Amino acid sequence: MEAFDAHTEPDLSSVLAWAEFQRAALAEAQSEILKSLRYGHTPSPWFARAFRGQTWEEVEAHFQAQRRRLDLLTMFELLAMTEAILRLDLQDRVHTRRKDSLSRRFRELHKVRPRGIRLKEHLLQLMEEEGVVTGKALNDFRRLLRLRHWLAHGRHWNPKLGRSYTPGDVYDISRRFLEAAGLTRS
Amino acid sequence: MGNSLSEFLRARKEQSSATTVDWNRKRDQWLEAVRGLYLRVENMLRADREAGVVEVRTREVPVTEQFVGTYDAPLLELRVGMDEVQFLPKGVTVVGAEGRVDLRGDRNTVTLLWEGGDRWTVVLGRVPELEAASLSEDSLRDALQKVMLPVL
Repeated sequence: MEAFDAHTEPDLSSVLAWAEFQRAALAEAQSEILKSLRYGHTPSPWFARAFRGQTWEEVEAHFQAQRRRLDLLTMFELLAMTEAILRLDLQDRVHTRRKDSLSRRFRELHKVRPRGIRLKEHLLQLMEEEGVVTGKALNDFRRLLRLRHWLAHGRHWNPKLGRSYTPGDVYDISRRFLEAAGLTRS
Repeated sequence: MGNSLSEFLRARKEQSSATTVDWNRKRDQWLEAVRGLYLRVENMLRADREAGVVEVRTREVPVTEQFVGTYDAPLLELRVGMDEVQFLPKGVTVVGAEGRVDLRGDRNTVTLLWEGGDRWTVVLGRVPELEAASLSEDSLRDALQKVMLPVL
């Protein structure tokens, strides 16, 4: 897959796998630098230059900030991937002319709005009206959209999320929503 | 792996002992280097001090570091008119250097790194690339300009 190719098979697990790899890489880097402090030697040249003069606490704080940023990016990627799954499903229902009521409603919507179908106001609304996803699975995912909005728009205000989230929370909520909608592969 | 918990812990302790750094010695060498730094700075400022342009004072402050613990280290203060700057000893456990002193003013903080012996480096900037110079009257002047509030 080239860097700017379309995602034809979006998959939440791949996001978690990517995030785990990044975390492991950060842990290795932090470990190398802190070991150099503990045992009094110089780390590899790139690290020696990038972290030159930093104390133990400053190195720890730097990596803590890196992990925090990784968590935010992971949550954003999970939510974007979930949206991609929903939109690919929408396209499929519109073009393959499935007979169920949600597909009919999506086709009607697509006729009126070939562009500009919104995730919350249109897709989730119709899925709820047709009884495809309701209750906790839908409500938990809807609440996540505030987080998605904040992440997508540069995090330049304090969001009212009602709770804090971890990447694991976002994965669980998104996956339960997709499972309820019959949109998971395994 | 086949190691019991005890075997694992014993092996770690042995490795740790084999690679132990003499932190007390490092601390003492470091404190000597800091005193040497302050003497050097005071020499650079001798004429200005005698002319009453700058006041110089030292006092002891506690420093706490990983592996070394808490100890007293000298702090150097300079007063120039309404400006005061401090040379704050940060410690000996720093990446890629033998020790660090921070030059702190009302505007900013500049890092001085001890490279060993009587060699000190002034870190004038980190972005986009590390910009550093050996300690001299010129680099000290640049550092003081960075940390002091600009004049009106």
